[in-house]
Amino acid sequence: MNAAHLAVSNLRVMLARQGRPVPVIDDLSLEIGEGEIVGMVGESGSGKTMTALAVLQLLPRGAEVSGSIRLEGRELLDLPESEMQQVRGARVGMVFQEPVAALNPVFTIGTQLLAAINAHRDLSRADARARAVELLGNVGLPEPEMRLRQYPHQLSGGMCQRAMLAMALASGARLLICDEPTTSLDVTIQDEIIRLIRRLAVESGIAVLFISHDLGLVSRLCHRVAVVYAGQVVEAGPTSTLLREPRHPYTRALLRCVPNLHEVGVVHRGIPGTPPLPGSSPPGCRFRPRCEFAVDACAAPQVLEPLAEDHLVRCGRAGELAGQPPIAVRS
Amino acid sequence: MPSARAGSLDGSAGATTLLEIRGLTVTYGLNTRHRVRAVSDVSLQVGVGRTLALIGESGSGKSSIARAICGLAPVEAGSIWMDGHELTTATDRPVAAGERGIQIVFQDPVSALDPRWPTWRSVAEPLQRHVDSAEERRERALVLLERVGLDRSFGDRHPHQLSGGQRQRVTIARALAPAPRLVILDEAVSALDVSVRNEILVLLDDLKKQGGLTYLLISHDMGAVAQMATDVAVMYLGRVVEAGEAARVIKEPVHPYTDALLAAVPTVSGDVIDPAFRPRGEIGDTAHPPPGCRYHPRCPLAIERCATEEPAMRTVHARLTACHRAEETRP
Repeated sequence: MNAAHLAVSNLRVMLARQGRPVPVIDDLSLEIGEGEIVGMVGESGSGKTMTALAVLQLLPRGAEVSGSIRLEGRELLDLPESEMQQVRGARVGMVFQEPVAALNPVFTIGTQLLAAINAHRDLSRADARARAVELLGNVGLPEPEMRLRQYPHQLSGGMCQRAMLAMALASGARLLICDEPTTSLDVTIQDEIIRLIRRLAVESGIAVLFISHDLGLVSRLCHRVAVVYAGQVVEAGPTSTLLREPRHPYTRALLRCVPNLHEVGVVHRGIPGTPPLPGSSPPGCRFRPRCEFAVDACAAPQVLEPLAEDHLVRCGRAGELAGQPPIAVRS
Repeated sequence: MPSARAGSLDGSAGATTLLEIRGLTVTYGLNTRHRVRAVSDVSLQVGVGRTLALIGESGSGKSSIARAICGLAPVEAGSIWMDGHELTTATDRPVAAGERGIQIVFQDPVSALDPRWPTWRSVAEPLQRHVDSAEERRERALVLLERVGLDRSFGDRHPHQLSGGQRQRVTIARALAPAPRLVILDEAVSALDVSVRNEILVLLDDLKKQGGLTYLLISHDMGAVAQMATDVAVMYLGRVVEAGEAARVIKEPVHPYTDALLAAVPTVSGDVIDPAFRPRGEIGDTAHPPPGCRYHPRCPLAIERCATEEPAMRTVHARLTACHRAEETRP
């Protein structure tokens, strides 16, 4: 693996809720190398988006952050706000879920894209425009010259997301954070967007943090996956390892929720219950109340331990549950 | 024009037809210059106790069919029959649909419930016309809440005190209040988190097993479709392109569009779109459908004939399909 482009270690984030600090991310570590796509998977409220916001230091007021976030070797948590502004946009690009809502409806794509290009660079009008056309072409928008003059409502959701990707990369960002970028898109368009993200990572060596609740989607795109539950990483490893040998019961349960088109007419029983609210996790394993394999020992705190090289699991029973067939995964 | 009698193929041949759509054309802005024909000459049948899934990208017309059945979309031509009674000629189409036993559950449970009302009141609202005593309506609402897995104490809570899954349970309870025979699920699980989505699918499956219910499932969530549907109709730009028994259509699609749509679903089985079937570009403009086969501009298998002659619906490999090359490409 390449030297880590982004290295998050022992990240802890506390948010103030009704006057008391509530942990939303607890001891989270994550590394992404150049050209590597790392997926972060979990249900709503697991801390996925908070991790992205922590990297960009856009957390809500009053948030307490500890640990370390190193981007290109530089510690972001020590940076003053003025320098952090140079990191956002110039070093890190961000793409959100609702592309149509993320774009300003009263400005053309060109105006918004040129603003992103000019934010961190001093280019002449003609050069900036040429760069805009190049960027739109690079994300596969047909007829880029015309798109510059169009408004967001004149573009489909998929085209808006391509324009968002162009903006995220406008200032030469080497880290791209995608937060559920395809959730509101049709599957066919989703497929196009993830192929585009993969191409950007492979061709330009951009590091990608891909946040999603869909393990099926993540497995199509990402080199490595981190499964998060209640603010903690519960399992992490290469995608193929996680799909073939998922060891944490939560990962297995998520895999059961992935569509299986080879089995028609069977409604699967998924994961009972709902994830705990921040601050209300039980002591010990946080997944314990929903876990089909929970035993008394699970009430003790669980540590994220290497099961094999590059495969980390936070479950005391991981070794013993190895033989359990998770789901039918065709080789 | 031969009709796509999805519900009447094989599996439900023995089942009595509950809902029948004959040559339905839904046109918005009929007497304006900007008319949009969202559904063109579609015929479908749903047998008693079956679950017919309508699938296709945004803009395919699937939601317009749902709305037309409920009397919420303008019908230009054709007719809709419920249990032998024509709904399209009624003076008040939404009321006629309700009286013949049709209810609908929408995607967003937040906007579907009145935030000022306790949940029991929302659930009891459809009973207003039939049950005079408020006490009796409340009691029935509480029983319905229990039926969808919420204990009676939920009756006095307000929507903001409920999770997304609990809210969707409440809207399902409300749909069940008038004892419907057909429940239309219009993207009813699409906005939910993985485990919650699974929970609602299990609930819908349980409710159907208790008897007396038929579903029309409108979804772009192919995982939900594979689990729930007994029959599938695939729509593209206002037309049905393939229809038949769910297992057949999903496992061995015949129409190239069905193939592309299913292959784009991210699964963990490692199946990806066969490049030979990858569609070009995005779904066209419903207001200006292309001549010939409406899918031909995106279809990698299109030949000259596809651009000029509209393919007729016919039986190929025990399902209906409208593709000139069906026999030749799927021997």
